[in-house]
Amino acid sequence: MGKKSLGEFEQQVLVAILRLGSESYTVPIVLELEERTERAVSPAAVYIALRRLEKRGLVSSRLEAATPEAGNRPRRYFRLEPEALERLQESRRILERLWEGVGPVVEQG
Amino acid sequence: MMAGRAGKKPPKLAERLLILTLPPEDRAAVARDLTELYQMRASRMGGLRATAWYWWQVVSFATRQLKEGGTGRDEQLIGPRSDVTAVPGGRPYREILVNSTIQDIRYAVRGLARTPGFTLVALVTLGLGIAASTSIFSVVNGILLRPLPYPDSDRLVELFRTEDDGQQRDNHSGANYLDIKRQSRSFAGLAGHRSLRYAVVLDGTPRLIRGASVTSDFFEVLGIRAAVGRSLSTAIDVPGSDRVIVISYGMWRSQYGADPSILGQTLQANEQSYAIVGVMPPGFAFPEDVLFWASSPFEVPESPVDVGDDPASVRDLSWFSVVGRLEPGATLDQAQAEMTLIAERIRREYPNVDEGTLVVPLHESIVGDVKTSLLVLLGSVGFLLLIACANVANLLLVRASGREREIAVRMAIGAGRIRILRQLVTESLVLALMGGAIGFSLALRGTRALLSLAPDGIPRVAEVGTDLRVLGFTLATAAATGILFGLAPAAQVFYFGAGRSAPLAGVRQTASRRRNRMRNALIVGEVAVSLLLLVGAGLMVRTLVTLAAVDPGFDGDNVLTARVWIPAAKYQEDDDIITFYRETLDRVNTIPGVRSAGAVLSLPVNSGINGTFTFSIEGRVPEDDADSPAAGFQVASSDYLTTIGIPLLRGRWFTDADDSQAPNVVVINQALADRYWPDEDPVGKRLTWGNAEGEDPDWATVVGIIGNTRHFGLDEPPRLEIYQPYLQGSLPYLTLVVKSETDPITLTAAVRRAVMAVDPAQPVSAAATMEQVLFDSLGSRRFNMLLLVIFAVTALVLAAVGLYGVLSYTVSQRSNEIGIRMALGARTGAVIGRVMQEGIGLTALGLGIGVAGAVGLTRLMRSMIHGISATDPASFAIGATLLLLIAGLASLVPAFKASRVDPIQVLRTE
Repeated sequence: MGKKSLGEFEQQVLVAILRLGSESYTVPIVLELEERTERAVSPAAVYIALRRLEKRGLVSSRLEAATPEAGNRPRRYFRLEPEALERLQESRRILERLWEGVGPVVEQG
Repeated sequence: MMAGRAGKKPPKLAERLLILTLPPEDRAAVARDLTELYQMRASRMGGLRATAWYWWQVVSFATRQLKEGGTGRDEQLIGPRSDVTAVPGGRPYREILVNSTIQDIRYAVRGLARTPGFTLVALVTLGLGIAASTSIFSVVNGILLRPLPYPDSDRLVELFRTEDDGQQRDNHSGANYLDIKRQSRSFAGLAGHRSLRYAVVLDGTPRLIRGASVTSDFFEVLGIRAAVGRSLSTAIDVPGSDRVIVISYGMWRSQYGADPSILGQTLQANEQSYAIVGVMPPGFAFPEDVLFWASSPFEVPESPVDVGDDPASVRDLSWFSVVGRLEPGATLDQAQAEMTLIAERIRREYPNVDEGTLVVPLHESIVGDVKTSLLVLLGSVGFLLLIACANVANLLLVRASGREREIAVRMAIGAGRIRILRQLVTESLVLALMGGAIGFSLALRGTRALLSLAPDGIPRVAEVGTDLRVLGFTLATAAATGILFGLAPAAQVFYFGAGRSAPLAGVRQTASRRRNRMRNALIVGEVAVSLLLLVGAGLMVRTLVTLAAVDPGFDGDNVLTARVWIPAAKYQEDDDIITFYRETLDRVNTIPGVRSAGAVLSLPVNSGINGTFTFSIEGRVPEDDADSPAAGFQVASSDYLTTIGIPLLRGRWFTDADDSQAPNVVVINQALADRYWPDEDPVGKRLTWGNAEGEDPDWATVVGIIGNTRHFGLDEPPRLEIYQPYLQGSLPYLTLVVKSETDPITLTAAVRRAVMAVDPAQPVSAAATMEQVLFDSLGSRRFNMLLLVIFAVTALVLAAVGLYGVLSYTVSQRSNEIGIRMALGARTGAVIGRVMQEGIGLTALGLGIGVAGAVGLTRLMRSMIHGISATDPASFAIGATLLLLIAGLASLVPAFKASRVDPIQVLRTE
C-alpha cells in the first residue's frame, strides 16, 4: 500500500518534537500539544502515537540513564528521522497549496 | 523522605496496574513521565483531582493498549461510535471483540454517569461491602494463609509435653527435653525458648521488658540469620561461655538509633551482663512480642523461677517451649510415632513420670486459637457482601425496567441477545470494579482500624498487610460480585428476548411479573442472610452478657495493680525478697489516698504466673503419683484479702505475725476445700508441697478458707488454690494491689516513686486498674462481638433499604391498580395493609429460611460462645423480632405512599 499517510494527531506529535528539539520526551510533548491545541491531550494517546511512529521509522528514541532521584527510572527521548521531516514538509506543502487563493476566512452568518 | 518536597507520589496501586499494562521496555520511562505529569497536576489542582486524573490515565493506557494490540491505524484511537456488531469487510475477529468491549465499557461508564444517584448508591454499597471483606481477608491472609516467614516453614513444628490424657499442652522440663533431643531421629534440630521479663535500664529509666532465653541452636532451627552481626551459634555459644544477646530490629532502631557500631556493647539485664552480638531482620518476632533473645547459660532455657543450679537435670518442673525442624523426608506422623516410643522408654526408666510429647505444626500452634473466630468473621463478612450484592442487583433490576424500551429498540435494529447480554454484564463488571477500587482503598484504612481495635495476644498481627494476594482477592471478589448481581438483569434479557421486536403491553407485563418474582426472591435471601448475621451477633452479645454476670469472686472497684518483679539474680535470698516487698508495701501504704495495699503472686482473671504443683495432705497416702493432689501456688501479703475484696469463709487470713519465725500456715480456697475435704473441716489440717518425704516434712497448717476467684478468666471454672504468706517465703514476682479512695489510676506515679525509693533500679510494669484487668480478660470476645454486631447492623440496614426499595417500586408500578381499587371503595387502611402484608410476608419467608440456615451454621461458632447453646432461643428470637420490626418500618413508608394515590388522577390518566 506504499506509504501510509500521516494522521492528524501523528502530525501534531511530530511538529511538537520538531519544536522541542533535544528536550523531546512525553511530558513536554503533552504540555506543548495542550498549549498549542488548547485541548486536553491524553499521555496515553501520545505514547501510542510515538510507539507507532517509531515502528514506522519516523522517529527514533533513546533511554537517558536513570538517576536515583527519579527512583532509578530512565526517560525516553525522541528524535525525528529524516523521513519524518520530509513527510512533514510534504504535508505542509500540500496544505499550503490547498489554501492558496482562498481569502481570509469569513465568519458565516 | 527526600522526595517530600519534590512532589507527591502517585497512588501506588494505580502505578502498579499501569505498569502491568505496558510492555516491559517502556514501563520505567512511562511511569516516570506520568509521575511527572501527576506532580504538575497535583501542585496545580490538588492531590485529590490529580489522583483521579492519574487513575483515569491508567484506564486510558489500558484501553488504548488493548486496542493497539490488533491494529496500527490512527482512526482506531477514536473508534466507531455506533453500537452495531455487524461485521464490516473482513476485520479480524479479535479487533472486533476488543473494539466492542471498549465500546461496552464506554457505554457503561456513560450510562452510569447519566444516573448519578443510582451509581452513587450502588458504589457506596459495593465499596463498603468489598472494603469490609478485604479488610477481614487481609487479616486472615496475614495470620492464617501466609506461611510463617522462615525458610521451609512447613517443616517447623512445636513440641508439647502432655500428661496422661494427652490433650493438655504443657511446657517441657529440662531432663525431659534433653531425653527427646538425644533420642529422636526425626528432627534436623530442636531448640528451647522461654519468654521472660528482664529488668533493664534504658534511657536512664528502669524498665521491665520481654525477652526470650533461648538455646544456642534456636536460630539455626528456625533458619533465620541476623541482619547485622551474628545470631547465636551452637559452635560459639556453648553452655558456660560468655552470655550474649541478639536484639530485634525494632529495639535496635528505637533504643540504639539503628547504630551499626552497637555490636560488642553490653546490655545489663536482670543483673547479668550480655554482649550484643547481632540484630535480627525486621519482622522477625518469635516468640511473639520479645525484644531480644539471650543465650542461656545452660543446655536448656532459663526459668523464671528458681529451678536449681542444674536446670538440665530437672524433671519435675516444666517451664519452656520447644520448636523443632523436621528432617527432610520425615513426616509429622513419623515424628509423632517416634515421640510415643521415646515416651515409653522414659516411662520404663522413671515409673513416676507419665507424660508424652505432642508434635504440632508450628503454624497451627501459633494461630490455632484465633483460627475459628477469624474464619467465622470471614464467613460473616462474606454474607454481608452477599446482601450488598442483592441490593445492587435490585437496583439494577429497577434500572433495567426503565431501559426496556432502549433494549427493545437495540434488539429491533439488529443487536443480538448475546451482544446485549455482554453489554449488561460489562456494565455490572464496570460497576463492580469501580466498587472494588473504592473498597480496596477503604480497606487499606479499614485494616489498620481493625488492627488498632484488636485485642492483645492475637498472633502474627505484625505480618498483616496488603499484598498481591489481597489485591487479587479484591479483584476476584469485585468480579464475582459483578457477575452475581449482573446476572439478575441479564436474566431479564433472556426472558425479555421472548418478546424481541415487540415491546407490547402484554409482553411487558409478563416480563415485569418475572422481574417482581426475582426481586422478591432477592429480598427473601437478604432477610435470611441478615438473620444469620443477627443471630451470630446475638450469640456473641449474649455470651458477653453471661460472662459479665459471672461473679469474679473479688471486688475490683478502685483497685490499682502493678507488677513489681524483681531480678532473682539481685535478690537471691528469701530474706532479700521479703525485705524488698515489705518495705515497698510499707511505703505504698503511706501514700495519701491509699486505703490499703497488698501483694500477690498471680492476679485473678489474667493468670500471669501459673504454677500447678502437687502437694501432700498429712495422713493421706495417694495410691500412685498421678493421684497426688495438685493445686495452684499463690503467695500473698496480709492486706491482700481485704484490698482485693475476696471473702473469708472460715478461719482466718494471714497476719504480719505469720513470718519465717512463726509456724508455717496456708489458706486454701473453697474449690480446694470442696475437693479434698468434702465432708470435713479443713481448718487445722496440715499439708506440704511435693511428696511428704523424709523425717520431718515441712508441714503447713490450714488456717482459713477464702472464696473462689476466676483465675484463668471468667469463662473458666475456678482453679484449686493454696495461698502462703509472703513473709514465709516468696517468689520475686509479686504484683502490688492497691485500694484507693478515688480513681486508682491517679496513684500510678506515686506507687512508682515508692518502689524506686526502695530500689532506684526497680521497674514497675503493667500498671492497670483491676477493672481494666477484668475488661481486658474479655478482649478477644469483645472484639469478635464488636465486628459481628457491626456486620449485623449493616446487614439490617441494607436489608431494610432493599425491602424499602422493592416495595416503593412495586407501589409506584401499581399505582394505577391501587387508584382503581380506591375509586371502587377500598379504604386507606386496606391499601396500607396490603402493602405491609407483602413486606412482612417476604420477611417472614426469609426468616424461615434464615432460621434453618442459622441452626446449621452457628454450630461452627461453638468455641466462641459461652454459657449458652449455639441454638440459643433468645438470640434467634431477638434477631427475628428485630428483623420483623425493621421490615415493618421499611414497609410503612411505601404503604403510606400507596394510600396517598389519588384515584381521580389515576382515572384521568387511564
